[in-house]
Amino acid sequence: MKSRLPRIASFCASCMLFSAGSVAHKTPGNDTDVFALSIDELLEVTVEARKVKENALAIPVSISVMSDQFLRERNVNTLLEAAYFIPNIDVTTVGENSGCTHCANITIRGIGQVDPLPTVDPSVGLYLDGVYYARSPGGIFDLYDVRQVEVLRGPQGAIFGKNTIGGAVTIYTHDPVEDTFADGEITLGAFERRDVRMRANLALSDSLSSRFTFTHLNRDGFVIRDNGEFEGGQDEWAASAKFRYQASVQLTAQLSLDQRRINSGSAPSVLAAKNDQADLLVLYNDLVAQSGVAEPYPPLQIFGNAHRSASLGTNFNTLDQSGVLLSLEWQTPQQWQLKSLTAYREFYATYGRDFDNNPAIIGDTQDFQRQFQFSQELHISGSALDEQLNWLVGLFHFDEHINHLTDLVFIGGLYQALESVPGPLDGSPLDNPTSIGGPGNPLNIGLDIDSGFDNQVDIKSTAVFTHMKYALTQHWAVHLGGRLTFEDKMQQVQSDADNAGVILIDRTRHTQGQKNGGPIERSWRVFSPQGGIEYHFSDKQFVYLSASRGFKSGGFNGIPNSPTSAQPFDPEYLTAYELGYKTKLLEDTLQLSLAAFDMQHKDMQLRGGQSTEAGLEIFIDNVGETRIRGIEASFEALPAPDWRLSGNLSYTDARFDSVGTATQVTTDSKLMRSPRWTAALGLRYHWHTAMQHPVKIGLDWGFRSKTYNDVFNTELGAQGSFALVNARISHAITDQLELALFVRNLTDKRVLIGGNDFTEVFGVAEHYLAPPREWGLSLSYQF
Amino acid sequence: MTLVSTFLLFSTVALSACVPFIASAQLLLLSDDPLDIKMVFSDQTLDISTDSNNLVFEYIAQTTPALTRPQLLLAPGNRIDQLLRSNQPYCALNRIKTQKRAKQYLFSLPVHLYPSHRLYFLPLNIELSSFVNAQGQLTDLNALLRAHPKTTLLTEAQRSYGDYLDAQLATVNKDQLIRRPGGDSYKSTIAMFERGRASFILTYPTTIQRYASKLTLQQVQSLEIAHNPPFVLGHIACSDTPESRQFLQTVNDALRQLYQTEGFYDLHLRYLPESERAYFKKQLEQQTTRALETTQ
Repeated sequence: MKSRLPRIASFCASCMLFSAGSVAHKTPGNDTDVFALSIDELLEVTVEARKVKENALAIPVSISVMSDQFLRERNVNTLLEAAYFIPNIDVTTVGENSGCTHCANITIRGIGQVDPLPTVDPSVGLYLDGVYYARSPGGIFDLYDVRQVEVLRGPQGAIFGKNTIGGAVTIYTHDPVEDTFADGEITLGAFERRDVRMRANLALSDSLSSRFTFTHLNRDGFVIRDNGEFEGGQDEWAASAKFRYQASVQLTAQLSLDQRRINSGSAPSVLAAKNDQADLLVLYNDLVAQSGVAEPYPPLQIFGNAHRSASLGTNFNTLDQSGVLLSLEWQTPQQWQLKSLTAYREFYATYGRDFDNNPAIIGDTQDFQRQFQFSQELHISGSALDEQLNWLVGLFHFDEHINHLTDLVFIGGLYQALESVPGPLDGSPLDNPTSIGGPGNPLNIGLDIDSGFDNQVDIKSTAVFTHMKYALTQHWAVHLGGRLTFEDKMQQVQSDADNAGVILIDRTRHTQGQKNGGPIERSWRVFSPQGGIEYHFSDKQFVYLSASRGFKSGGFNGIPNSPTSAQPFDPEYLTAYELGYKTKLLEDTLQLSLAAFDMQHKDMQLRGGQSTEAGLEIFIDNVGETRIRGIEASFEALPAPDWRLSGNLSYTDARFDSVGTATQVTTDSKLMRSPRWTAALGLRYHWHTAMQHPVKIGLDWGFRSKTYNDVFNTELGAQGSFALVNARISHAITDQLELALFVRNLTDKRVLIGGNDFTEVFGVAEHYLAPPREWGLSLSYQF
Repeated sequence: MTLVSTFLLFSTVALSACVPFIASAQLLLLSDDPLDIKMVFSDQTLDISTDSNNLVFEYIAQTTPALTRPQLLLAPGNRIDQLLRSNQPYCALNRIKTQKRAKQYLFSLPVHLYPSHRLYFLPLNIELSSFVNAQGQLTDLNALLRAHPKTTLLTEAQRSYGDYLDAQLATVNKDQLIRRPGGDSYKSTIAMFERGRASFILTYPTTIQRYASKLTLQQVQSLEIAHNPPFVLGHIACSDTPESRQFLQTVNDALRQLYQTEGFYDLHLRYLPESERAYFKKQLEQQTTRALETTQ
């Protein structure tokens, strides 16, 4: 008679690293041996996609895992660089909306964030060492000393909570281990690149270990302004310290501290197209020609495909960020695992851009954002019924405060020009104008588009969540989970038309009790369920069917210009069904994952419009519905000794079913940042020569089909299909010293990370560029 | 770690540090103000700092014709700080000498003296009298901001406001402090202030005079700040290299001569109201005398 414990439960149990031994990380040897890259076996990858440690091939989620080895082999330093080689994910820095180079805007399966303002939440959750990273600034960071990056596709609301309807990206750094070692890396390369990365792990006693990292990244930008300034450069340092105390076999405490500073130029942009006859340029030029108060705009300067800009305006991009995390893990006498994560993080980020890329003040934006966040998560997990049942319950609290000042200058001087002409442009009397123009004409205020928006947002979110998996038989298992979230949000906003000196909106505590005054408050209570069924053919292949529903929190219009437009909007919801298959074949030399998904997106937050007495009011409203279907496939194979092949493919069909009163999209619009196809192939080869260590060669190819970078689907702002090729060759000269030469964007493709087309109104279209071909030489040393 | 590998590692590190600088042995002059790039080395007059720099470089050109005039480049403030701490020959215009900076790089004799930072504000609905002493000076910047938590103070990031104000700013409630970085921050902070992006701005009278509109200049009010030195000395600062020491020597020799000329005083006084000129000239004489004494 077979054991009472079904084979599937046994398999799951072996995957769940709950035991005291599970706190053990990679052995110190593995952790430190940076050159010991095994190419002849496919490693079992352990992930924490469901808060507990499990085998990636045994969880019913479409997931991509990038180990530190994956990142090192590809010389991938940030999520932005890695995204080209991961299926169905798009990462941008939001440069086209802000000039920021460290802001993360992540889109998975076509679900992303249209508006990067902090009054609107992201659609993909970013987690660092299990802690929610709530805002976009600082979200693109150097992945040094990262143990693993997990990209979970589809709504993760039951486990991760709000703002994960597109998916979740979880990044885990290495914990201190019981050993003492240090290593470092120097990278020199194109654009005066000089990067230094160092880390040290110190065992301070039998029970106390520590780990320290330091990085300094410095390079010039690749877009040069006519005044000699650069855009797209990097001047950044970061440091972290971790202390891990093993109080007993059952109890571990870990304190992590990190700090990061960035001070570099704006996101690299060039003028992609111009229209000197654009509506507002012509209006301005006519007005100043008539009144003589200023010089008309000179013809705009454009430099074709060169990485050159005539800009003289805003060019900054800074971040000052620090965080602390206290993590406690306790194994109860019942063999339950209790984990507590207490975290605090704050940043001050400033970024701006001169979007006309010319000396003329046609468009200039600046953002000053300060954020404070505190979070406390507590979860407990265990098993019962002879480990047929694995369960997890948790509590989460999140408290956030944001100050955000947005300063926009469009057509600087237009208001003064309107005020300087004798009367309304249509000849109507100034005391009863029907058109703009003339001193004191109230209609001029509508074209005072030098605006400031001062937002203060306070968010409190509390959730209770659970997840369990029950092995019905040797082959069948079901999983079920849910999360109940309570959220309170408050916005205080003041916006004004600068030149007219008019306060357009004052929804602050100062105006409490007045008409259209006082803070805007909203609360929601949302339940996010998740469930599914799995059939395990063996311990090496299984199929699953899952259903989940997630929500992206409601929010506020961060740039309201009228009382009507200053209104909150509700959460948007996404329901997803996923059918997946994962297997290991050919004597474990081939791993294969397949997933097909069907997602329905309701109450999507889009900019909408409503006609009022004051004209068209623009605000964010829950008016969109989309349907997104697709497939994702990925594999990793060992076709022959010393060869490793990996690849992936995704197809996504994303369309709007309904757009309601939305002003920016129609049902024919394509979802932004949602290429129909993505694909990647990676080839690694270890070439054994007479030398002690093999020469390691890697080649990676990533493909994206055409992608619209803005909601308007402008062709000028779109990125046509392209393939990116990266190559790396490395050799360990000694047991300690490795040299690596790498080239990114080998074929020197012009790749956009964002784009806008304002040629009709403002006369400019801008392209935000990924770096052209760049090379680098890295020297790693293990002490 | 073997001896060979240690040597190899450190050779590579040293090589990597040298490579980017091999081509830049000539001294370069830096400024964080785009207007300096346009106006310094020109014959035009603009303000105290530009005119004084022009006076020095014109004098050097006449008295030391063999000296090649360094190229003047625009660089952000933090980049200037970084380069001045390097072992390459860089100098920068218009640097305030703080205790911290004096430990990090070299300073010339004062090139100019100008009125110190003041707190500027457009008409506010705030009662300020309790924060102002008998001399009309703001007694405590932090107390003012604490008493009015909805107000904000705009400053330029990556710039020193002198030892006293730097210490004050370090303790301002973060929610009330807007720090604006960027190479164009002199002009842009004034523009932001004019557009009402902040309640207060901490800046030089010369900066607001240079960049604000006539309307702003008519409306703006300001307060001198108690405990803050009433005048600021601007210097040329240099990294510590043989080339920059040599350059500083030339600049200091020029300044010693220029301190004795009317032209040096005139370029300061012509930008000040008649009523303040006698007092300012006395201050200028005292400061230059003190500087000469301490460098001898």
